[in-house]
Formats: sequence, C-alpha cells, structure tokens
Amino acid sequence: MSLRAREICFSYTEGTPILRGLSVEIPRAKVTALIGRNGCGKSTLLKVLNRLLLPASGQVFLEERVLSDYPARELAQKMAHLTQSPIAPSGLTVRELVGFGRHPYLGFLGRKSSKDHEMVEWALEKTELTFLASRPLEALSGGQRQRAWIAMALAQDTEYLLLDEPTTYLDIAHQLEVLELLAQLNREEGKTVVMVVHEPNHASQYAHHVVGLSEGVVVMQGSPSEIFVKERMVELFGVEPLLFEGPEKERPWCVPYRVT
Amino acid sequence: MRTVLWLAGLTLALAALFWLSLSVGATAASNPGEVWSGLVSGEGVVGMFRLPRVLCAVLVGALFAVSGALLQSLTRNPLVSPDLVGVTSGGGVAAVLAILVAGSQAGPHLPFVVFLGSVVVAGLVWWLGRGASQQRFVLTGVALGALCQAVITLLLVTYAPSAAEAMIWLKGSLYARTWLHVGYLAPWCAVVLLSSLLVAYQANPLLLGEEVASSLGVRLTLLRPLLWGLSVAAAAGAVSVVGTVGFVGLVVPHMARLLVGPDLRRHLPVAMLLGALLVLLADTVGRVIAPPLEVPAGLFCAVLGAPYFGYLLWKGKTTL
Repeated sequence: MSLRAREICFSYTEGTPILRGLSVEIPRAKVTALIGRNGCGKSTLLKVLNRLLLPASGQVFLEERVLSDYPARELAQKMAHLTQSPIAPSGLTVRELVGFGRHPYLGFLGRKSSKDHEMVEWALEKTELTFLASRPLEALSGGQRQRAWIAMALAQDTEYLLLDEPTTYLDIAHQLEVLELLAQLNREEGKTVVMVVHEPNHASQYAHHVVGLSEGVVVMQGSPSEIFVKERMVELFGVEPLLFEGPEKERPWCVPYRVT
Repeated sequence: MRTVLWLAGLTLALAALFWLSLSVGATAASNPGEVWSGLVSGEGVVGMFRLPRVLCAVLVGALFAVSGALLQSLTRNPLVSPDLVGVTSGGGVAAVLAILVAGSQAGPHLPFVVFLGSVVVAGLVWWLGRGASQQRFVLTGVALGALCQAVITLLLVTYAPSAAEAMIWLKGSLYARTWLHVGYLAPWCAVVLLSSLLVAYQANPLLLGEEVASSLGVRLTLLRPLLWGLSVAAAAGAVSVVGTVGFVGLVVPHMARLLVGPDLRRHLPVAMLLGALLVLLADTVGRVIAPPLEVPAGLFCAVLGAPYFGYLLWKGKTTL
C-alpha cells in the first residue's frame, strides 16, 4: 500500500467536522473510486491526500513517508490533482495551461527543456488536444476544456492522479472518453488513479477498488461486485438500485431506481 | 513574438513621449538642440527641471503598474489596486500629518515619512488578514484604506487653511520633482522591478487559483508574502515621491493583459512600459493644457483611466 490515510480528522469550521477519524488505503497502480452522498467528505479527503488541506489530527503516508515531510516540489512530482471546476484566466492557451503541469520540474526562471516540451506535447496528444493547442481555453467546449485540465495533470508526470469529479459538465460521450483515458493511463503507464464520482456506473465499470464514504468515515470498500449490491446502495445512498449483469461479471451495472 | 513587438512599440512610444515631454512646458517650447544639450549636460530648464520630472514620471508609472499587476495576481481579483487595499492611503495619512506638523520643513524628508506610512499600513493589512481567504484579505485592506481616508479627510477639514499643500500632494503631482527625488527613486525602482521580473514565473501558477498552484508545488506560505512585499515596496516607493496617483495600478494591468495575455513573464514588462507611458502622458498633458496652471498627473490619470475602464467593462473583458 503506497498511499494511506490514518485517522484523519478535519473540519472547515469548528464544531462541524467533515472527516471524523477516517482511515483508508489506496491500492497502488489501480483505479480507486470514492463514492458517497453530497457532503460526506469525498472532495475533502482528496484534498487531504494531496496536502491541499491539513488535517487537524491523523496522518497521510505516501510510500511509507509522512506526507508533511515531502518538499512541495517533490510532492507535486508524485501526485497531480484535478480540482472540481478549476478556472483559468482568459487569454491562456491550451498549450500554456498544459505547460503549467511542468512547473514542479522547472528551475527558478521557468525555462523549459526539450523533455518538458515533449511531455506537454505527449499530454496534448493523449487527450487529443494537439489540434487545439494554440487556441485560448475559453474558446473550447466544456468537454475539451476538461480534457485540457486533465492534460495539465498528465504533463505533471506523476504516479498518482487525483481527480475530483472529472466527468462534470461533460456529455455522455466525453464522460466515457475521459474515463477510458484514465483507465488507459492506469493500464499502460501504471498510474494510480483516485477519483471522486457520482455516477455509480463510472465506479462499477472503471474502478478496481471502490470506497464508500458516509459522514466523514469509510463505511465500505471493496471490488465493484462487492459494493454494487442492493443492501450496500440502500445503506450508502438510501436508494434502491436495479442491478444488471454486464459483459464483465465482476462489474455490475447499477441504475438508481427509487429512494427508500 | 507579439510580446516582443509590443515591447518594442511601447519603448518607441515612450522614447518619443519622453522627448516631447522634455520639449514642452510652462515656458516656451525648446528646440531639439536645446533639449539635447540639456539632456546631455543636465543644465538649463530642460536638464535641471524637466528631465528629473520626466524621469520621476516614468519610474513612478512603472512602479504603480507593477504593484497593481502583482496585487491582482496575488488576490486573483482584477479590481484590486494599491489604492484600494490601503497601501497608498497609509502613505497619504503620513504625508498629511507630516505637512501639517512640519510645513515646508517636511519637504526633503517627506518621501521617507510617506514610505514608512505605506509600509506600516501594509504590514497591518497583512497581519490582520493573515491566514484569511483572498477576499477577506482584500476586504481587510479596503477597510484599513477607508479608515486612512477618513483620517485624511478629518485632518484636511480640521486644518483647512494650512492643508492646501497636503491637498496638492494627495492628488499626486510631479510638480517640482528634482534630481534628489530621482536619486531616491532610481535605485529603488531598479531593485523592485528586477525582483518582480525574477519572481514572475514563480507567481504564474497563482493564475489558476491557490489550490491548483499548491498542487503544482508552489509554496504559498513563501510566495504570498513575497508578492505582497514586492507590490507594497513598489507602490510605497512611488507614493513616497509623487503622492497618490490613482488608476494606474488598476487600469494598466488590464491593458497589459489584453495585449499579451496573463503570463506574468510577458505581462509585467508590458505593464511597466504602459504605466510609465500613462503617467508621463498624464503629466505632460497636465503641464501644457493650461499653463502656467498645472493639472496634477494623478487627476489626469483618473480622467484618462476612467473611460478606459468603462470600455473594458463594456467589452466584458474584465476577467483575470
């Protein structure tokens, strides 16, 4: 286990804890999905895992080293984080945005080496944005923009990719494209992907490991076939699902049917 | 490429305006020969009076522009400027107090007193707003700035007749700026502007927001005070010599962004030139429009700046 959190407590305002002694282990080189109701602490957990938020108590370990021991640049070379609906300034081109992913590797004045340029082009290619690279970001559709942000995270060349609802604002085709891309990166590059998702099928079809959060603690975790069963969905979301067997037996399809 | 062209064009424009500004004034316009000899020898009307004044305008314009550009990236708020967050108002309080207490004796020491006033208020803003979100930090500055303005108004009203000199100072004038002022300003300007250009790349990820910046390995706990310090140093230096020239720090960063985009490595040098150009233009026009009376440069910047800002709003291009 290479990324784990131990007994994390966190609150934004005193008296209303978001994470209440949460412990979790993220399996290496797998795709992990975080699921749960609104406000259960998924996004907060993701930020704590990347040190964007400091827990009040508890610790995160990355490869057996306490997260707080990592220098900022070294951490940014290991872990990329796509936050929920990030905003870019107007006038920034796609290539410039993706170039920001190289920030943790560059010297004080930010001169890019040929390796940096190669990584940027590679990330653009992987996300099929090469032909849009010199367009300003605001000229892109929502799906293309989201891919540009993913490209930035890719250019960061990290083993860990944390994504907070990477499919928001995307139409169904683009949603699948993004998820396929993440699955491919996991398969071919061995990246460890941790993503917050709302659509149960995104978790069941693309994740190896599913973690269910409720009120700031992990209440269930396991493979998709262990999590996507009726009792678990009722417990986690208060929703009775219809479950179908798909082409892959261990990846059930889950349709929210009615509120219990 | 576009940046290089803009830089070249702006430098040319600045050089032309520099020359023009040396040739005109309250006394009769000088012919090119006189301007040249004054420029070289540092004597005569051109060398002793106009040249230091023009140099002050250029340096101060660049400083205000850089201060505004750094503040806007730091707070990620396109409406923030050194005048808004209390830095220049702090200098204003110090200036009014010094002028009221010491009268014309204050003259040579005024820059230091004003600088101190700006830095003290800026330090207070930092201390009170530490750890808060960007919005709260800005609001802290706005609140302290408003308090300073209230103090200034109170002093001006209470000591109305003797406060005339303070009034002129507050409007930001380049009148009677001498080689002494250039001597204060030039080294300061060199240090502040160079350091700003050096940190420009490091500050860039802030364009994407603080969370993204820290996930890219930016150490906000270092970068934020550094940017605040630099922008305060720039504004305080400028205010200490010419008083509160408003609008430059607000409008120029916008213009620069429209011209070359948000990357600070391109944005900052363009903003410096634009700021210098704007203040020099304001001062030159203010000098020749109705001699021997002068319209203070600060007033003229507002006159030029306000419609431009309206245009920006109308174009809907105010997002940072």
